[in-house]
Amino acid sequence: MKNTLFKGLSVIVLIGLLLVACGGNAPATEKPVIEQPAVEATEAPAEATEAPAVSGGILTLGIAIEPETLDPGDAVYVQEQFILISLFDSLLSMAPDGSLHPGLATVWEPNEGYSEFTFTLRQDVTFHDGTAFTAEAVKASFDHIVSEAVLESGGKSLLQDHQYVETVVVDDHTVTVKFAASYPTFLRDAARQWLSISSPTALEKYGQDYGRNPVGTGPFKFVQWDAQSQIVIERNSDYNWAPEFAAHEGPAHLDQVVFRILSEAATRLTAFETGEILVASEPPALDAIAMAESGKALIQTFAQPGIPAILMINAGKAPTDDINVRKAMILAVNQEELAQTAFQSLGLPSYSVVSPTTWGYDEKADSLYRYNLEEAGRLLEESGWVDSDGDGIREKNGEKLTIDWPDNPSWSEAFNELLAGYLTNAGFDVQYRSMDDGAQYEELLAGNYTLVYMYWTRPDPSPLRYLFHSENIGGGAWTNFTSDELDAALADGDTQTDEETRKQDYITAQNIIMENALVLPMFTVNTSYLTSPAVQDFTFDLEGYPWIYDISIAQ
Amino acid sequence: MVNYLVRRIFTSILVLFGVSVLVFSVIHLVPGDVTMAILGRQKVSPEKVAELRAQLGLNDPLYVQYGRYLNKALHGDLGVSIRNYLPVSKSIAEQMPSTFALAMSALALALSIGGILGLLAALRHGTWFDTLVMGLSVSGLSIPTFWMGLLLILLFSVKLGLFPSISNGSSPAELFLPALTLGLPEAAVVARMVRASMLDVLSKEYIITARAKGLPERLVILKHALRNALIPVVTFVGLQMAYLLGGATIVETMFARQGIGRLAVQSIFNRDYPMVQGVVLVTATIYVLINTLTDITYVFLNPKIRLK
Repeated sequence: MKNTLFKGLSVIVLIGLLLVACGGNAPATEKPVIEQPAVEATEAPAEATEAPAVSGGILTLGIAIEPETLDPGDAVYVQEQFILISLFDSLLSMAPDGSLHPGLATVWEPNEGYSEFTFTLRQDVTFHDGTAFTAEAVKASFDHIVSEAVLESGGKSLLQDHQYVETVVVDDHTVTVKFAASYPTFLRDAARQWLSISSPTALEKYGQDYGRNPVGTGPFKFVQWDAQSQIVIERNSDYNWAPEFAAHEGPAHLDQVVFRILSEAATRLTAFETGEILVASEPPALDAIAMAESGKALIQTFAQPGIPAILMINAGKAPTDDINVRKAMILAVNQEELAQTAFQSLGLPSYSVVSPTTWGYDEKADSLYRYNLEEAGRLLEESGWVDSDGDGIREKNGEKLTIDWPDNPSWSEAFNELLAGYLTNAGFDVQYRSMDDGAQYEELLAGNYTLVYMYWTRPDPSPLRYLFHSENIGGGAWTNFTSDELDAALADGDTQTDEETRKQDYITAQNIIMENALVLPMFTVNTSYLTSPAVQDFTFDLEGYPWIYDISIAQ
Repeated sequence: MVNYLVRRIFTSILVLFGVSVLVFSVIHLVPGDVTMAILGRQKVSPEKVAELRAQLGLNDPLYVQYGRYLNKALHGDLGVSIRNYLPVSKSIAEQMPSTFALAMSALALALSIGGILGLLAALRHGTWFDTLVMGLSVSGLSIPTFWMGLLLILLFSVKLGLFPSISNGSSPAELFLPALTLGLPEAAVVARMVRASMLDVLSKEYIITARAKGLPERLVILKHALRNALIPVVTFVGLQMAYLLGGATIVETMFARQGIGRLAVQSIFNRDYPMVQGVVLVTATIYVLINTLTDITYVFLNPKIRLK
């Protein structure tokens, strides 16, 4: 009898556990709410139609990767920009539509050769540590970036590539930045976080530790950084110099922002569900959609401008030195299905080397290829690639149609199998070789590759020069393709000051690249966030970082 | 016995030495050039590569590099992270307390839950209770840590809202779920061990003698049986530190806690070789020390060895 009781009890306990484990919300049938803020904003922000933003509250955000430093001059990665935009301001500011506006500088004057830039600075700005903002701060910040203290950073590349000479303090509120080469895009670059301004007092005081003790002029100031755990920032109540395109003026709405470092997507999702965080970055697509459908969350997505997720094709090595083979590769992939399968409704297909939300994007280059398996087959056969032995792989002169893809799967795991599947369908023999970043780089340098995965977030197509100009063959221009016309267009685009001509340069470049089938476009890189319904006015800046300054929390 | 102690300590030093050689070799066993792995895909000038090689001291003969490494390590200098340039020993010291708190609470939970259940199962040997405890302990052993953690989070955090799903401090509320996740499989093992050991001891002649002498059962169990039964458990617990330190990695990642387990994982993903080396060295040292201490303690507890 005791045995039966025991068995009965254990059965009940097991059923109970199963119910707990499997019980969940039945999926609703309405479409999830996805907000896609247009990148082209209209002019100054419209008046809020809801109640005015409430002041106060703590915003907890779950982010996936911990920054390595909060020194803007030493920063490289996305996870740093994320936080830096709230702590620092730059000389200029850039609206979501790409237009330049005053920042810490109110007037700017380039010289004729675009090698010297004189800025008139605001007089009412102070750093978080009380230091007054003067020309001295600009000089200290830029000199710090090019100094030995910074080994490698986004800012350092920008300044050094254009041969930064010095920053001259003309007077307390006038400063001139000098380069030895022409740098027409400096004004745009000066609006980015990499060249934002740090407190000279803090730079001096903290030295090598400045990256853990950042001091800027931004709407929030740094409070603490618990390694591997969280970064806390709080409102700067003196803040009164927000960019003119912001939705409000004066100090930020939020009391405090806590960036909680939660590397596992499952952990972020759970913490969001329990309300421990109000915003979760990069949620897994299926879970995000389920939550949005149940009304518990909003999905905020941003299609990043710049170079979308593409595979660069080695046009200097067989079999992809044949343009038919390259075109066939592009036509063999169903981009729409790929994006949909890998990213659900959060993914968008891409058909060109520049994404649609980028300044200078050309529709014509984008329209050249659409999925067409038959045409792919026809092109391959025209070049003599036939499946003679019925194993599904095409051959020519006894050689298989082999694609060599050395890759680090942690970047591409969402789609690499899918993509290989499409190519195999068309008769390619895909050799995917999984390896470390370091090992992959060696293979690239040695030329042992057919495909390289690439994407590059930038408001304009300027990365095209690094990726396709023949001067970078052997280190960056992995397609190994040389064209004088392309080189000329890219070089001019880099230095051209007339906007229309510059746009034309990039349109030419996109068309040459796509006509020569140098890349296999796949999808646009989207950043997405799950936000709690309590979070108001969640918008993105032009690079896709949350514009925390305008966010408020409904109480 | 002194002989044994001396030999034991000497062995530990040898092991640590071997560990240091292995840890040192990590940076040289990396596929591809380690400087490329560090600098990533950026277009790097040969000067920068040479600079980094010099910085890492990679141009000297191996034994010189090892000597330098060992010397620094013995002085507490484990190098500098190549990601954020902070001293490795400082980062490890910062993360240790959290792992320590987690491991200790997990151990406490494991010993108390496992100990009591194991003891009771031994005393009720053959009954349904005994079978239940054995059944539960098999499940506890078989369930992977991350799955256990997910179930616990789902129940206690999401459904019941009693405990946070992410934690960081050492308050009981924050430690409870992580400690339970880490400690339950441990408790299962402890329960089995205690039960087996108790059963073994209870069948010994001196127990029969004690009962025959008329001692109250409570004293028989607690004073005579349990004390002897716990000796093998002590040894075993020392060995389980390895599991705790390793399992802490998964629990720390799941609950997003600070700790050296998570530090190890992150530094591996970041290819932060000095940090990986530092964490492995420190963890291995702790493990060796605990094992040595356990062995020494066992010597004192077990009269048979003590009197040799």
